[in-house]
Amino acid sequence: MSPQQKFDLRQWSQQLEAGEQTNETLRLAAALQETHPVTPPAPAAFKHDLRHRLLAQHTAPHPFRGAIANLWRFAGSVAAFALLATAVTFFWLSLAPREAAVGPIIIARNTPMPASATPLPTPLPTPLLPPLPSGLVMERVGDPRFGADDTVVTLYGFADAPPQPIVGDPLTVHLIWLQEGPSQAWNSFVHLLDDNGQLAAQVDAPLWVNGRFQQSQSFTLPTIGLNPGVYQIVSGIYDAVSGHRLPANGDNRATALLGTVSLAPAEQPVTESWSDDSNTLHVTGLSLPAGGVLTTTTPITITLRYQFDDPAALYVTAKIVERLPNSAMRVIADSTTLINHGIGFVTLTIPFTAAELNGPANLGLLIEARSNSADPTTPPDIFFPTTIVWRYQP
Amino acid sequence: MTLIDDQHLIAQARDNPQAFAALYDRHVDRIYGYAYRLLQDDALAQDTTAVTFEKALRHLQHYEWQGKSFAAWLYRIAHNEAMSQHRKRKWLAPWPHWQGRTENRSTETAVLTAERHHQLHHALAQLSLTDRSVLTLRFFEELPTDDIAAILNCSKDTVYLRLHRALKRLQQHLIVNNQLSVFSNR
Repeated sequence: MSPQQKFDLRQWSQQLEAGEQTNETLRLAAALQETHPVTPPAPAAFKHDLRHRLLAQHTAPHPFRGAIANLWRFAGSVAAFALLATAVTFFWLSLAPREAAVGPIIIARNTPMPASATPLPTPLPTPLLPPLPSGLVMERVGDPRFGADDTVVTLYGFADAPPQPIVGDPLTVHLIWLQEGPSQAWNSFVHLLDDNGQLAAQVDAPLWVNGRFQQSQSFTLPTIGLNPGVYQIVSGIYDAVSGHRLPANGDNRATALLGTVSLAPAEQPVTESWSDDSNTLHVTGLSLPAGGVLTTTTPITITLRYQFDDPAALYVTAKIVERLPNSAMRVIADSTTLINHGIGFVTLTIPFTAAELNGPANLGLLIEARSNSADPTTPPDIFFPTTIVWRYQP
Repeated sequence: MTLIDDQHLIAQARDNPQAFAALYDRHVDRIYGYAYRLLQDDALAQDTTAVTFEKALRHLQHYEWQGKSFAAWLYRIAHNEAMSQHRKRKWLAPWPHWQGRTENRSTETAVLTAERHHQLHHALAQLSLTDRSVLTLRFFEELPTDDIAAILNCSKDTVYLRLHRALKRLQQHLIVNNQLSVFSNR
């Protein structure tokens, strides 16, 4: 309403109150004022009944009426507050990022995580994860989802590294795969990449075992013979038949970064090495150092790092021999294991006993490998006579 | 009856049924009349009156004297209830045949006056309930503007604005029916 209209209305209202009849509306107002219509009174019976009913409803104030009213008011306030709190809670829950609860998770211990790592905002669905070793910290890295079309495999996992890993320490990686849609005969792999992105160690395993999708896997990555430095741990899936990798996160990377690990220099260098054009074998760990003295019949553990391109699998045998005069050797004990081609490490425990010996003796370590037989008496494909010696002095 | 009388009766009526009965006796006809003028139906007017006094009894403990008359409070309850009844009914009954006073006039004058009032009444019946309520409160119930503002829950300026608009619409109805000259040439 404009100021002029307000003024006109004010003037008109004053004229109305004064009983003036200077225009049609004021004359109509005067006519209405004079009308004095007769309104039929309320029926007597109705008035009587209503009066009676009202008086019946009217009661003297109850001594506790005020307290009861206050109690109802308090209950109402509590109910309103509870309703409001519930509404606010549902509102905030609706805003919480739910995707993270089912997203890929990496759990690492004492390993520097990439800059993209963000803390997990909501708890993991616990049935999906195995019991975690104490001291591990949950971290989320990237979005490791593999596959395309109607099949998607989501990766959960954590790396279980020693607190301050050194070259030679095994790195164990636990993975959990969740599959949506039909799956095929897939293999999974875990790679250790150096700072140039070159493969330093790898472990492969079938993800499709006996017609069933395998959810949980553990890999042990060898670090024997590696240079000290920072390495990336990546994982992925490939078709067991064609060898084609499944795309990760919808692109062609095909690998997912699980974490990084910093390897400190080893206290002891590699003890013994053997190699030919395409294969390498290192003795990197001994439970009894070379030149040591055995006084009891204790098993001896040997750690080997290997890189075999051919053949596809090898039976590796470690033998403890008695060194005899004229470079002769007599086998005292041995242990055999099967390894696949690629880069890896293997630990053999030789159950040494002194039953074959007649008193003090000089002992040596002999490594052999066979491509098609586990029998340690057949001629080996690889013969690795190490220079490692021990003295048995009961 | 004065406002003070009502104020004292209200204070007693909270504890004393007879005091409430006195308030009821004082105002029941006015409330019924207002409801009847708005709704034009005896049964609906009785319902509105009954609900008005039942609500007044129920909320009497919380009624606070703020300078407005008790009658205005009752009118406000009745007005809201009548509007609610109107919304439920969705239609308005036609204004009943005029029943005015024509005493103390000659027969011819009385007939002309009655005819003029009948025409005015007929035009009133064609107004909306909102327009009829403000005209009824002002010219038939003869309430002061302050009380009308309290009943309609608006300012005094708004009351005048509604009055002006309602009279304009009434004028339009009379023009359409070619009856405005009857009032212009009085």
